[in-house]
Amino acid sequence: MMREKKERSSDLVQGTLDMLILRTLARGRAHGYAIAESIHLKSQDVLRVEESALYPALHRLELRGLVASGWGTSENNRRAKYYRLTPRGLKYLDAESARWDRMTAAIARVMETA
Amino acid sequence: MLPEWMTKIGLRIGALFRRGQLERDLDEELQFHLAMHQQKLEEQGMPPEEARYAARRAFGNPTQTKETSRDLWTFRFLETLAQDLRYGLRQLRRNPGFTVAAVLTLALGIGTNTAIFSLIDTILIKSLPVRKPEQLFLFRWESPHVVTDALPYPLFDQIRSNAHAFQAMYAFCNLDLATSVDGKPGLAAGQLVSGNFFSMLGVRTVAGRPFTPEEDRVPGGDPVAIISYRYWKRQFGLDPSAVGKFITLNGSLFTIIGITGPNFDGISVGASPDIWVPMMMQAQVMDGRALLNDPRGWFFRILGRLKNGVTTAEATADLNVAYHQTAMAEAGARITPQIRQELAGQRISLVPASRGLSALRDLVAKPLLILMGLVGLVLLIACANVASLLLTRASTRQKEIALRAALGAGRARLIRQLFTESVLLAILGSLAGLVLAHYGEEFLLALPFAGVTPLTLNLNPGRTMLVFYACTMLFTAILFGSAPALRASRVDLNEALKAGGRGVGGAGGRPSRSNLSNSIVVGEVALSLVLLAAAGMLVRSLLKLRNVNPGFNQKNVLIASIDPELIGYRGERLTNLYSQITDVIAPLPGIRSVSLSAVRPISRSQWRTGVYVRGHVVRPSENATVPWNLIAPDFFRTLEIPLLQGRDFTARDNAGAPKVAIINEAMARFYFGERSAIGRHLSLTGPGGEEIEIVGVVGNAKYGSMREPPQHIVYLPYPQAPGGGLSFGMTIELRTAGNPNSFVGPVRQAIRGVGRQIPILSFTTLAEEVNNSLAQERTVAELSCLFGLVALILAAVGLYGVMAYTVSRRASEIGIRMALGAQPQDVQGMVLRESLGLVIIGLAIGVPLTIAMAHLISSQLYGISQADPLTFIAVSLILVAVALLACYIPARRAAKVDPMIALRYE
Repeated sequence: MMREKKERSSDLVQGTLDMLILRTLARGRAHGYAIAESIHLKSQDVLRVEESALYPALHRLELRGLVASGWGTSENNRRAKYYRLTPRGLKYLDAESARWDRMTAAIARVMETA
Repeated sequence: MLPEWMTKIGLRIGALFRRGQLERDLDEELQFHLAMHQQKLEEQGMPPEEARYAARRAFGNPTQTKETSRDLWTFRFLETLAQDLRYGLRQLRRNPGFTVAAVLTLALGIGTNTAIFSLIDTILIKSLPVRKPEQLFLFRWESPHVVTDALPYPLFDQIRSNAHAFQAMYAFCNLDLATSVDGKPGLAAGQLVSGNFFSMLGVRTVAGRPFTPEEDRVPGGDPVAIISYRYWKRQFGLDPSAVGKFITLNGSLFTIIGITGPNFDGISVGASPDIWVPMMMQAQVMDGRALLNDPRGWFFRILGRLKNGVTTAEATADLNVAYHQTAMAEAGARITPQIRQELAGQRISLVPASRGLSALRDLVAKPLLILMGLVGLVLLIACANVASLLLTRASTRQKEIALRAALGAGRARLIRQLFTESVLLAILGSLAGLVLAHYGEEFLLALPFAGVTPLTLNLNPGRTMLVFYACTMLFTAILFGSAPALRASRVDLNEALKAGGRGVGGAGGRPSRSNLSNSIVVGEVALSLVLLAAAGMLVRSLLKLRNVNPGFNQKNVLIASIDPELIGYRGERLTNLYSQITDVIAPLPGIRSVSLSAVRPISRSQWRTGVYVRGHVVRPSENATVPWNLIAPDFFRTLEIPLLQGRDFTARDNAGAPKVAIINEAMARFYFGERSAIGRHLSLTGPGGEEIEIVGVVGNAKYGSMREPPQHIVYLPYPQAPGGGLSFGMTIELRTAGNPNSFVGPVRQAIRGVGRQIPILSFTTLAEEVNNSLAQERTVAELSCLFGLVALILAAVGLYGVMAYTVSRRASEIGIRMALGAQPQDVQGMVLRESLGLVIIGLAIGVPLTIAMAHLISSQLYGISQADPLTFIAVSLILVAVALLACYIPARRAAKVDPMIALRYE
């Protein structure tokens, strides 16, 4: 129960992670490890996603119908769970990106003023 | 696309079944991640072992990850609930003493409540087990002077065809039946009903068939009968061959064609007919007296079922239009302005019959509700006791609770877990209470609630009962569980986990803890006071009633009820029979005097008539009707009611002689003041009606019950019964020289000597009747004493428990006191004084509550005030004495505390 409380207070971080995951999946379906690696690479080693945050996030996104999952074979012939973006997820991603852009622009403006 | 919350719930429900699979999937997914990372590290050149460890380390705690994910698809609430239940059960099992004590206490409280409530449900709340009972209404005929539910049959016949707001109507009439089956005589309660009775009510037969409308056409044409399940059991032992058997009812032969189901007891709650007979057979069972065409035979009650969608107001209007039309048509050419005016004052109103017709209900409603209140108090006291127990136990569990809090349980979680234990206790207590209630109900049904006849009730638990039961369970759990749960969960971790597991030590915790326990004790004392005071007042009322002067001498009077009418005596033949009977009994040895009366004394029967005295102006506040009786000569001598003026009736006051009457003192004084009433006249039918001369005045005597206020009573000689002809059985009263019961044999023989077949309904004595008339008061007083005793025991046990625990907790304090010089007596005295203090506070709180209670039960009280000091004082003394007794042992134990041991323990 205490854990839930912590997560609630960091909703901002949670929402951002969701957005990053969805964006990664927009480029194509991937399994959990690949998503983590992708985010790590694309952010040029700045963002590292904890496994304890990644998988619950993925499962939550699946619950909300924003991603869908299926089992497949990985590149090294292992059974892995692959995730892909759903139409609803794509819509959500667009909305969240727009919101993110607005927010970052606003923050930038505030920080600019002398 | 489904809304989000639905997919969520759907997933969780689905997950319930696929738990195993989901767990494996999750595991596999995480394993894959680990493997991939390990592989990557290996590709970067790390040795496999190191890579594996490095990957693991980087991964963090898989368990936590799993838990977070798992939470998504489980009903966390249910899981923790299951956990709590298992834990709670384990705790209860580990403390058998506590569990048994708590469960028994709860069983006592819940069981008694359930038992009383089932009575209330059956008598006061439940609807008839018939189709759409809310559509059923009884017809009530109202005029300025008389209100009656019994109407003439021709009226019913005509209204039936004219009233359009009803889909069906039927008439019914109760009567006693002298039965004979296979030659064996017996008595049964009968009911004449129209042919559509069973179909209109939607009642099915369990064997044979119900009446058909054809059987409602031809008078005397269908000698068929339907018997009740209860009668079938009693008389035929559930023998299936009963259908088709012949049965003689009041002299006429009938065939049994059907048996009703076990849940149908007729439409009167508490009084069920044994045998139903078609209305057309009326003359056959009332010995030839054809009432179906008699516009003056006011015997038939009418029940109507509204058409679907018709309101009561519409139906009433429609009915009255039909009635007035009918009445006008009846009068026809003979209509006069006077008759028209009379008609205008008459109307028919609709009385709801959805819960059945019940004289029983009115008799028993208030006492039952009072008992319910009392038994509710018992439940509160029981809950208080259990709360005390829980508080005591909670303080010994401080360490365990603190540990759980330290491990991460939030306060809400702790409260929920403790509360679950309370609910478990409540459930166990309720189940045990159900068993108690079962026997309790049997016991209650056997008690004389409404006179002596035990209630014929079907105590089948219905929806209402289950709802009540569940609510009681929940209510008690909340009541006794919340305070301890809230208290226990408020834990100071540091204090509790310290080595001294003495419970929450320190000045901070103690006073508030003991305050709660003390408040509970104070509350119990207050409630016990209310309960015991109620019992005391009811007992005193009963004693006062017993000592009421009835106006007659109830000793040594034998009473026999006979009904020769059932076998065909009528009119003059009947009158002659009665005088034959008295002639034959009077000379028997040991019989001082014998007489007859139509209304049995103190039998709750009420015959009422309007009374008009010439020259007296009726004030609007006066009672429109007075009780009256038909009697034989010597009635007053037999009952030893003093004759104050004039004379008694004699054999010369027969049918042809001038009409005479005797009135009682209250009536004479009211109408004539100090002047003599002899020679004055009164009329029973109205101003200008037939004049009856007053020939005697007698002392005031109780008529229907011992509780009634003084009334005006009119006595008439039975041969001069108004309306021509007797139509009821008579009661024979005899004053005997010794124990009346020893004369039953000779009297029965004498009656048989006059007419062998004369049905003798019962033998009793006047003293018994008086006693029985107080049966309900006695029952209520007895039960309230029982509840009071239970409450007293519970409160004593509760007080003992709290005191014992207080003493054990304060052992170190007592040790210090004794070390500083206090003597054992001083310590003992201190404990006793403290408990006495609690009791006195409880009494103080209880007094205003008791006064409020007395106000509520004032209808049951007789002869005592609502703040009866004698009861208050006596009950308070009892409580104080019991409290001191309960505290005696803890006080002794306190005195025996060894200071060395107590101090060392700290």
